[in-house]
Amino acid sequence: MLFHTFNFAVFFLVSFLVYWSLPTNRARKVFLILGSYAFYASWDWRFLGLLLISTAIDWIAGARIHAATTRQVQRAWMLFSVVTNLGILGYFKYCNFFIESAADLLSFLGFEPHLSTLRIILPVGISFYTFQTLTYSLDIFFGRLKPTKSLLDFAFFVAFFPQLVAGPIMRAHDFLPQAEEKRRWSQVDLRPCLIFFLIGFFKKACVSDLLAPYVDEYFGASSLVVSMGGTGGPGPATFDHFSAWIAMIYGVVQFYCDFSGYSDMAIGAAGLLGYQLCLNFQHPYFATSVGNFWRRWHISFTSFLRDYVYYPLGGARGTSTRLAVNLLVTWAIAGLWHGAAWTFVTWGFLSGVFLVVHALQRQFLRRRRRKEGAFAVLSIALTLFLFGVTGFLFRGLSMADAWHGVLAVFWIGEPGPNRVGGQHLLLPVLLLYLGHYASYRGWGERVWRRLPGWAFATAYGAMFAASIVFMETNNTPFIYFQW
Amino acid sequence: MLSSSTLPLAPVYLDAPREPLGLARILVRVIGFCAGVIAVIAFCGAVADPPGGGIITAKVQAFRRTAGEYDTVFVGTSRAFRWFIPAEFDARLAERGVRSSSFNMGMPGASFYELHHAMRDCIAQGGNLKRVLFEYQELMPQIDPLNAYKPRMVYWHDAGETALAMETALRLGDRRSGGKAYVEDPRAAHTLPGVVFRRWPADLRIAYEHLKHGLTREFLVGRGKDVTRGLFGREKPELLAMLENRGYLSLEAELARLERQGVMPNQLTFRREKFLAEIDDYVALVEAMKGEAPVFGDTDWYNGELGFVQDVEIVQQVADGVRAAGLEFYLVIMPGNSRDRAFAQRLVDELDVPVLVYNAPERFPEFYDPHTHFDSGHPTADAARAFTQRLVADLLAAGLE
Repeated sequence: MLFHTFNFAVFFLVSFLVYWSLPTNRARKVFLILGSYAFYASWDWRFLGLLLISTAIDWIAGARIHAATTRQVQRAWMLFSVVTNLGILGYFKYCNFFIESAADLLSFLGFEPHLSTLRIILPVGISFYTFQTLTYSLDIFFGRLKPTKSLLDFAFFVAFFPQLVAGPIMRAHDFLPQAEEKRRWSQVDLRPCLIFFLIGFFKKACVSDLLAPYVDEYFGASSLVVSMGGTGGPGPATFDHFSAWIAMIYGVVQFYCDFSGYSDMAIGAAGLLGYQLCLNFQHPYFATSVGNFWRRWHISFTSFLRDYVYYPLGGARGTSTRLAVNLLVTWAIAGLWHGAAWTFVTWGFLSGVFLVVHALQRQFLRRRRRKEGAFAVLSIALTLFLFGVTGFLFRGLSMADAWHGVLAVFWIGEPGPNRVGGQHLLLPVLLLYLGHYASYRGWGERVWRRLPGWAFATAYGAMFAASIVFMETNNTPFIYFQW
Repeated sequence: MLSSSTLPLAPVYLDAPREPLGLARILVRVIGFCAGVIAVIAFCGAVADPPGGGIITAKVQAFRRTAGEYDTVFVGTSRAFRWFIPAEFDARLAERGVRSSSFNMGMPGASFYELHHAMRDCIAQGGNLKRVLFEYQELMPQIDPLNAYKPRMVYWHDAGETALAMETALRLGDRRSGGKAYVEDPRAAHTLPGVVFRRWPADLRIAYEHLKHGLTREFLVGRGKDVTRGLFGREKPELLAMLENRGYLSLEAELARLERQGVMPNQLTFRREKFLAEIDDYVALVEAMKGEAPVFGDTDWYNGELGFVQDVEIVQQVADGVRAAGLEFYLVIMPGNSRDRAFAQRLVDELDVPVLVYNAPERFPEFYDPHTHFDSGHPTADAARAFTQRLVADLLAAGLE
């Protein structure tokens, strides 16, 4: 049940009306938990049990860690949570990757391996809710959180449908206090909720889905085709160098609009039910460095990596070498989280390399220069370019495809005979970026905050209607659903 | 809780309750919202190009612009598009003393309902239209789930067509052949809605889907490209030749244009090469058509799992609608339509309108000779000319005045 579909509109409208008409907080939470399970079952009912198991594991582990009197017992329960959560994730997401990698390695060493892969379907959202439940046990272990006494609240925290399948990855200490307190309709700030949802809808349905076919054309297949076992088209080698630039630019825009669009809709939907989710994107395409970029992009995930991987490894403490190793390990894990393929691991590693260079440059050039004017524009362009280039690893179906795309951006290599379509969209994409700049500067918000109620409603109705007229109707799943 | 928030929360919940709105202010906002929606939908509807895309849009637009010029329209699929030459048709009729000005409304890949919708659109233009030639196309009650919300599947669902599709689905029930009663979307096999809807009768599910498509169309969902074309678009030069020929374009001419533009290889070369490579299969199919048993083919071009219906009643309904508008109606079963020939005979016997049957290779070997074909379903320009001449003779014999 994608957020931008008719089915979700009906589901949400019914949930919204019933939820606010229920008299008690407890009844509302029970209703939303059942609704969230139905929402999850709308993807694939067979994996509902997995969600329940994940909930039970961390509910028990959290309580046991808190109740344990020795650090050793606490550690044992924390490891139980980590191993079971990552075990489930590993089985469903990485099993075939490890089998294939082992087979490749054995072949390389001269053996003849007879390893066959398993027919495993990746449950939607598993990477998100396993990490979310994991943070609960880890925060209790590190003494940052007391376990909730209410299983109802914990189940609600795990299953809350707006953020269940693609985040933001919420922390228990951000969400549970909200669940404990009765939410009041009179405190819902309606305008930002509606704006978040509409902007997210526009990003996904009108921009991302519009550009997706051209990016898919270059890379040879859509994620949907691949997830259904298809192989797609011939790939980057058959396209000319200009096509690589088109694929890079559209890929960058599509990727942002797809994922931040989902997050915005999740925030808007949760807000209409009285819950605050965390901001997942803060205009990353105006970041002036790679370090700044990752503090603005998929914030709930990058902060997870920072708090539960990078800091425990030692963070920036110690030597430059130590810092570099910590960053590279953290980002290799980030790559692996995004997908079970060497292209993703390489993407993560390369992103880590950029961060290491950035961190070392900051250490050696003590004098900080404020980025303004043309220097700021150049910094933004370079940051975007680096993100765009690594995007070839993200979207390429193989290392060869990715490498071909990267070289083509630098006009290196033999160009193919074909050119991807959609060049007529370059100007609209540029206009969108200018619109994004207006949002970055807060100009739009200043306008809609000041409008009288009737004018806001009329403008909203007009923008809503324009969005559904200009939406693409091929219902492409959100890119992040495959993770 | 021992720790404060570490992540920035979205500012969507206030610390203190806001002033409650009175009923009047809520009403004003609701009215404002509805006015905004209606204004944009009305504006977009007014400026949008006719939907369908490419050839279909161009033909519908051209016909609307010049409706007064034509007295005959041939509405059909790509077969009508490639077999029927308006200039030839008019010239042959003129030789027999009948004045005619015809238009080829052949639309590649069109379904029964899409053809019916196009025909209604032509009639609605008024003008001097006197007769409609309508290509018979099998009725597929279900919308292909894999293409369900492509604009092509949605655009013809106006109120009249949606009502007809729903009524027909419910009337026909499970009476389908050549496929399944209902084809599931494989992506929905294990989803909760999939499990729930599976318990509904097939005809009810089909009717419900047409209703959803009808609503999608009314709100112009996904029609942005048509709106943009309506505001900024220009006529595509590659379609001008087709419009100059009143909707007809031979495959050879189209291929020559693509060659001139350097678009090689292309879909036409692919189809041509496929036909030449599988010519023995084509000859075998033609031989099989000479028997009485139904022959099913063409599954390269549609979802073969979908069940279709041979229903005399809906064709009669369509014919009655045309005659009620004061026009002549002729049903044409084109060469290359390799479907159930027994049903074609039923149409001839049971309908009270002229039915011209050409899916009979034993009677019309010239329309099935591989040398006169560009691909398995479409002719060369010479074969199209010959067919048009034959059509004129048969129409006159059937009482065309």
